[in-house]
Amino acid sequence: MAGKTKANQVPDEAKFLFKGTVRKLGASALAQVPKSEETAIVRVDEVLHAPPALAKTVGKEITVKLAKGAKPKVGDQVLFHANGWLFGKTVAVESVKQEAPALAKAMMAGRTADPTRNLKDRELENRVASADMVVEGEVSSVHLPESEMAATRAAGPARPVSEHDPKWREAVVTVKTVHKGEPTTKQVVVRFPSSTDVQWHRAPKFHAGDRGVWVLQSPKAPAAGAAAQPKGAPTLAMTATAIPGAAVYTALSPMDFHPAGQADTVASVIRAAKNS
Amino acid sequence: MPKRKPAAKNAKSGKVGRGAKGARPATGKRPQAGGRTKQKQAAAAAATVLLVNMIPQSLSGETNQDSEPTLAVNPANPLQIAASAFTPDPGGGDVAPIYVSTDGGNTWVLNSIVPSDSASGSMTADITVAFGSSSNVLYAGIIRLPVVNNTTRLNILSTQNFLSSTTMTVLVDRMGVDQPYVQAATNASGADQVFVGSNDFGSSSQTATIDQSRNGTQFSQVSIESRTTPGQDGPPVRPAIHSDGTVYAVFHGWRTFDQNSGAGTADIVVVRDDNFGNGNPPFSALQDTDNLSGVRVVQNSAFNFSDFLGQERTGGAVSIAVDPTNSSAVYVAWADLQNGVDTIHLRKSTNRGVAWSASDINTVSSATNPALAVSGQGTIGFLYQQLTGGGSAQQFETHFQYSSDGQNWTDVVLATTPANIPTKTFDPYLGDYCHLLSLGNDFYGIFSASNQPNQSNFPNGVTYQRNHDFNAQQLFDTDGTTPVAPSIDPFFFKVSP
Repeated sequence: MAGKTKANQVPDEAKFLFKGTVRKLGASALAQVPKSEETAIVRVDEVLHAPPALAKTVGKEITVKLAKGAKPKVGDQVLFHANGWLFGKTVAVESVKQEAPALAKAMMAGRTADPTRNLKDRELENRVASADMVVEGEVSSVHLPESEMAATRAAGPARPVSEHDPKWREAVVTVKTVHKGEPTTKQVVVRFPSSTDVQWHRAPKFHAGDRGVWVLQSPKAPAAGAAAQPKGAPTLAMTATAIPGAAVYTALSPMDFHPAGQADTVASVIRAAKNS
Repeated sequence: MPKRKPAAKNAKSGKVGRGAKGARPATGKRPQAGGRTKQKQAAAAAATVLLVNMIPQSLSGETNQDSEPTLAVNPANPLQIAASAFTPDPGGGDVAPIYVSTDGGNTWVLNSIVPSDSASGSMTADITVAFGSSSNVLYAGIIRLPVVNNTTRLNILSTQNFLSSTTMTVLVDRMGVDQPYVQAATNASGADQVFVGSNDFGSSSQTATIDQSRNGTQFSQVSIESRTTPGQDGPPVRPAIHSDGTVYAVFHGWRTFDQNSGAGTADIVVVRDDNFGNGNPPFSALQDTDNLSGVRVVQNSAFNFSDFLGQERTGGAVSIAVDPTNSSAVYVAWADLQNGVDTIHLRKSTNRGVAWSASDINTVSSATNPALAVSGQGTIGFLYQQLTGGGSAQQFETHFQYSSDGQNWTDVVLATTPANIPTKTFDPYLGDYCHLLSLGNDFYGIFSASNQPNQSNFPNGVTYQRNHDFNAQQLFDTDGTTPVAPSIDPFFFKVSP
């Protein structure tokens, strides 16, 4: 499989949207980036959406690898759709598209003044759009799935023993409000990893009494090009132990659960995603 | 086994050599005799030590747990160094970063070119890196996120330009594989020979596996376990390559395992191939007394897969290094439980892995993460992390020891950092391994530790790129004023004995 350049990403995938003034063309403010016709030093004037590390660049000069075909002049203010590239003494980013700064106003309608919040909201919109179900409710109970119970009964390794073992648990969520999808029962089963391993630590962990909004995904199919399941590794098309016959969902990203206190905050994002 | 006695402090003087910025003569500790290991005091000249906190200034606000580091130095240009750790992409993309230095490790940048997934944290679940010896190609073995269908996903990757923004090329993509550990060398014909040790759950119950390539692009799998297991081997499988075509690998050959307690026993097994993995079958050059492939350096070594050393999980660690001046000389280190204490053992073979020293040539108690390398002078280097003290005073000491004869050791204490600060956010706290390699007469290494900016934590000096105040012992964000809490950072070092 050939590598994909970030330059091939469409602007909507750009994580760093900012207005900047071109200070010097054919220049670099980071020793590791060779000066070329594609590079420019740009002062960051305003950040519209960004991850935390890039949101802090306001007022600073950074190195921009310009989008192909772009020919800004020194002194021009430009709206950059960019992604992070190198983080060293200073920052270098790769622009995937440059536009007139006036376009930012329409683009940011309804957004906040916090660029990290804006990026998180946009990512949550995408997450909701791709979710199979979004529900508000409460965890009524947490169970050990049958597959885990069987493993404890085995004398040797019942399945591959790895530091990345998810240590699955099942949360039964009693649904109060359905934002997306059509649950067939009043309760849905959410499979979650109790493991603290690096592979799973960001996944939300649930306890009886937890209330909030779940953005639920159906188990994914194997990746294209990947081999078949190895010995003993159960697929995630698993059956629920707590509610026989119920479909099992997962909530593996931090974006997939929002505690009750944040429910109002995410409501507008959910509405936006549903309308998109 | 009794614990080693506290080492005597032995401040040394010497002029700073090789001109590395921030490098200084070592303040060494001479280990004394302890346990079964009889060690004489070394009389070596002072080593030059360069130690650098690798987090760059533009990421001064980060508080990630940047654990489990590995390192690759480009033999064709030692100023080019790549490293890896459990570090997320600061840009939040569908990629994870590697650390890159182009000035011999004095300064570092992050370049996010490893395939990943932003919803899964823009990082990997395992990553190791290695350069071909003259090709300038960087290879990586990773467990790729997101998790798909409840199992781990191996990717073997390469790039010809580790500073480019182009995502690394995927050479192998396979499910059900754990802890890929890559090593590479370029043969006389200019072809990269790449070996990736892993625990492959798709290869029956004998899971210790090597993916090997004779051209740096196409790979084939070799199972290197020949004995009965309780269903699988342990995660660590480590290859070591000599330029004459000799390739060794060591693995944690599980023999018993209790699913509920995590307790088990393992053989420390060494296999060898004499022609870059072209043996028939590959890696079958060593046979033990049971007429099976692979020499057992030790049998029934005790481990517990659920064990912890402080906040650091343990459960069996191995390392191997071959002498670049003599492929018959090979060293193995492993960690086991001695009366419940995590203990590292180091042994040597002088006849191509056929026979091993009957007792340890070095033993360290309450320690983990052994890493070995042998220099161009035949000097053995030994990196490890040891838990010392108790309660709130508990520390992880990171030691680099070296010896020209395997008997007299010079101990360079790289770091004595708090073991309880910060509190871990995930496992592993420091990593299931750290890394050591040699190039010429120099040793290059990497470890993760608490970044608390206290100069007394680094007896041989340290350079921080991120904003800090050593006097106030405080980290600061990019604005230079907002305090930042301590976290786990990767540290690069170069020791020139």
